[in-house]
Amino acid sequence: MCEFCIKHGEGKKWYEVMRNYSRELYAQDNRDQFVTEFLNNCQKSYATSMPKLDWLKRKIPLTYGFIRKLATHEMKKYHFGQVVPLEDAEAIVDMVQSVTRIPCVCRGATRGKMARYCFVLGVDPIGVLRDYPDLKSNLEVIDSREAKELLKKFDQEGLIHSIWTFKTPYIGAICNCDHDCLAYRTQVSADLMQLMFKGEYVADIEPDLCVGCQNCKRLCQFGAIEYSSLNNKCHINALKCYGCGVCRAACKKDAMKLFERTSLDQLKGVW
Amino acid sequence: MVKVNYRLCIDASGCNKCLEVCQNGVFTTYPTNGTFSKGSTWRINPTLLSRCIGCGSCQRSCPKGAICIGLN
Repeated sequence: MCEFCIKHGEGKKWYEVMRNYSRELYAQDNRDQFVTEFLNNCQKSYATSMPKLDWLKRKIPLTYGFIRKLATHEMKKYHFGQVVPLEDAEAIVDMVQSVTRIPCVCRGATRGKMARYCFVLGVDPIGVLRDYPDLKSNLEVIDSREAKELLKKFDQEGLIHSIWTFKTPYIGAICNCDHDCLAYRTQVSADLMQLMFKGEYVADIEPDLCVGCQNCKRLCQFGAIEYSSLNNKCHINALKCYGCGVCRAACKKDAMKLFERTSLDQLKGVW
Repeated sequence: MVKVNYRLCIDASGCNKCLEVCQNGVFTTYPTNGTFSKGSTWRINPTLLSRCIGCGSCQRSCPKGAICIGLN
């Protein structure tokens, strides 16, 4: 159980709780306005704030350390993500009232292209985004079967699934991320701050089944898989593993399994 | 240090060559008026400068010659 499960989980994993997707919750705290403004402004605010944090990290490390903590603390209140494996993402799709494919704002910023990789959950995006005709023509409401098929396809391509809050604890989106995700770049590539938390699981390889093909290693976005040539086996560095489960799609021998993160003592506090 | 001359690179949408060639993910682009608003021009922003290795591929790829790589 992570800190979010303790706060919003009612004894379960926090993203398994129906309330966190409900219309009642969405209707509170001006979330409509928050989502609208967020989608419209996030690229600009990212481009104006991140260079400052990046500069601070290089020039004034002590101040940076403080700001980094503060920024993560703020993001936890408004908009943060957590990695979920395919089967949990599929379970979420079954729970929510509607799924809408939208163009990924991250890829818009990092590649300059509209690519519909993200799913908005429950939110009525046509209503929320009524003022943006360009976007409206790019939205597509899909049923849970289509959503699951897409999730599976993305999984095989090696994209990580993650859930995102809009004013925590409302979970409003499932993203399918890689190097072009702003959160990934901030956290994994540049290590500037934390805003995408590790999943509730951690992967492990059954050594007897592993044949050392390294297909999983090529798919891992987090560099968590290590290889020994002498042993001809792959090994998972649990400290780096995000528990996305993408490696399983690559393993022909079915040697990968996901375990509850909390079952490993050495991962206490690693999120 | 990557610098973009915005007098030469007025609207990046439809070009985005630097975003394509940079393998380290230094750049992002953002709309000046908001992502989905009409009439937004897109600006290239050197965002994660600590990721820049100074390879110069952005400078070479820019059709307007708007990117300049300095020493610091």
